Amino acid sequence: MEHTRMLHGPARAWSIVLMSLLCGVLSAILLHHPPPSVPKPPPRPERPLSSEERRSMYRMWPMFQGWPLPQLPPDTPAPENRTPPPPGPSR
Amino acid sequence: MGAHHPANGPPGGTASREGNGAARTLLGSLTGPGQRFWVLVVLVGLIAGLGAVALLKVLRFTQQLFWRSTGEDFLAGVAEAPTWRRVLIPILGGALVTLLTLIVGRPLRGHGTAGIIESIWVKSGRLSLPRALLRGLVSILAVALGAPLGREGALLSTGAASGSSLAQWLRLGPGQARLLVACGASAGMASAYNVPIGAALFGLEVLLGSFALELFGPIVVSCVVATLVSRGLIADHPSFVIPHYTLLHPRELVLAILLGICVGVASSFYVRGINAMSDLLDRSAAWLAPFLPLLSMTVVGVTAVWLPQLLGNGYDAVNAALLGKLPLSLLLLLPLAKLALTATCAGAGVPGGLFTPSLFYGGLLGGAFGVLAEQVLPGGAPSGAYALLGMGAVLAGTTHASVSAVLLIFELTGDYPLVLPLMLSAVVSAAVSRRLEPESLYTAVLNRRNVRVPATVPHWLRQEGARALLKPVHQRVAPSAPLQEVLAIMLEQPLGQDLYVTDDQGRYRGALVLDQLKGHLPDHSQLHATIAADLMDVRVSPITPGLSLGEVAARFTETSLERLPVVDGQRRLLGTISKRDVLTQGTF
Repeated sequence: MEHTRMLHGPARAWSIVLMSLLCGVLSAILLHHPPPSVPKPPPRPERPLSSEERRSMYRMWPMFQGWPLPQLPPDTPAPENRTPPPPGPSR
Repeated sequence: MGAHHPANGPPGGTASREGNGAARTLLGSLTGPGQRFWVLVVLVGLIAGLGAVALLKVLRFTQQLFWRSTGEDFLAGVAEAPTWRRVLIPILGGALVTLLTLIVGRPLRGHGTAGIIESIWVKSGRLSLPRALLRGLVSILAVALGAPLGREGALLSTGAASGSSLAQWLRLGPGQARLLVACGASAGMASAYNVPIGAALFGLEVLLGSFALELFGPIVVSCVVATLVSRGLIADHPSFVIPHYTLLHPRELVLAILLGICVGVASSFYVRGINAMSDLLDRSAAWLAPFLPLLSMTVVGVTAVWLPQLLGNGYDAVNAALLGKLPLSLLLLLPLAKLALTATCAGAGVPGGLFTPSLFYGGLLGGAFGVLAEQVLPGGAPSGAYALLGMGAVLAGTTHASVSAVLLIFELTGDYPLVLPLMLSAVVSAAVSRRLEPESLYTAVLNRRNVRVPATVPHWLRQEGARALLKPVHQRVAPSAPLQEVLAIMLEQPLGQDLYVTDDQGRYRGALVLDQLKGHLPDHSQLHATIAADLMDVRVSPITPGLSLGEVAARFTETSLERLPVVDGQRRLLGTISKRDVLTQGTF
């Protein structure tokens, strides 16, 4: 039924020519006058998570609600802050 | 279902044919059809994923070429473009669709999903790959040039067509072919939006109409493979990056139900609007029909001068609604304008998906509801949370698929804490929408093509039972009726109609079947003393009106009779049901 609603013969051929011309002209105009460049948006955030969120992300699921938060290991102290080892026993 | 062997295949004269033959032999050499099918499931997922990546690259390249922007900052590019470009670029898109429609000689219209459902249910999983590829490419170009339709239509169609082509190539049976088509479509959707769970359930709920475990495995595997491909080659994050909204007050569950009701009404309006516009444009003059894409895209371009948010997929507007950045006036105006333009373009023959426009429609309507709720009951969840609920509710209301709608929104946004109100609003919206408009976005299209998809509700839950096909009994006899009277009535009965014996209270006693009568007639000398009770067949057990049509069909397998009597709880004869009616009108 859809075929019967299409143009046939010379009308179809002329329509194809007309549309080709229109596409060509529009493409030429649009590509020869490019739009101003849009400043690049900042990189998409990959869902930034705070350390608290990172630890509690599984608490969003009801199965884990009420569970204690996992604790992060304590930061390793910097070498300059490290306390010196106790002196060895003197003889 | 058997594998194709080179001995009975077409002669391979070229290198590509030899390659095809080798690949087919390799697949055919796998020991069992089960193993081969699973390889094909993985292959379909791979092809759908790669096809989706390729089409999305084309989309972004075209957007970059004409708008100097890609999908995620598309609106910025449109806003920066001068007015004449906003008008001319959509006109170019319309001219391109018109040109290709004229060259192909048939409209490229449609959002693809209805065609996939039709292929699965009616055409044994057959889809034309060249047509799907052309349609997909045109759809992607049209969306990139501003058509207010969804990109997912192209990805679903090409994924489904790849599954169909593999099935035809390996001459699989119709069951496996249908399943591969569903696998390809679901995989296309999964890779389009990075939604493997939602797409798998969409395939089961919408395309196959069943959650059977036999179907679940292949669909899930295809979706996983396609998502892995798209995550590896495009991006691995939710489509919409939003804050984690949570419920702040129990009353928000009530508001979610209210939103579900409002969006359910809006969803039925969406389905009717799309179909009404298609019907209207179908009645246009024959000479005008091929140029409708050009005209509709011209309207889009002119409208975009004032409302640039309407161009393309609509991602930025939805994201802004989810972040609560749109004013109430736009939240109310844009969904209606989007519906009008989407319906016009889809009805005019511009190919593209209706899934993303429905997200736009629902997201912004939900956002408007949230702003109004905030004004009436301050201190609740922000409007962005209601935009999210609106998206899910419209998806459920337009597709009538609540489960996949909830999971799709969950995966699109990665926001789990809102899942309870999301489920509520989706279910309520689907119920309200189904009540107002029994057809979904997809079945409405199929109905226009006279395609009936079998019901998916369990047989014991369907409205139509034996009662729906009940026909009254015009003639019945008493047990004491003499043979002459019985014969006179039986000879007047239409073909296939039996005579029933009832007592004085109308209770069924037995059936008089003409064919069976011959063997039961007593000695000729006793004919004058023979009555109906002597001749009736008491083995014809009646059925009750509460039985489902499936159960009635099962009863017909136990008898050679064309009709069975129907009785109530007191065995009073209510009427009869014919085998022909069950077969022609029943939905199994």
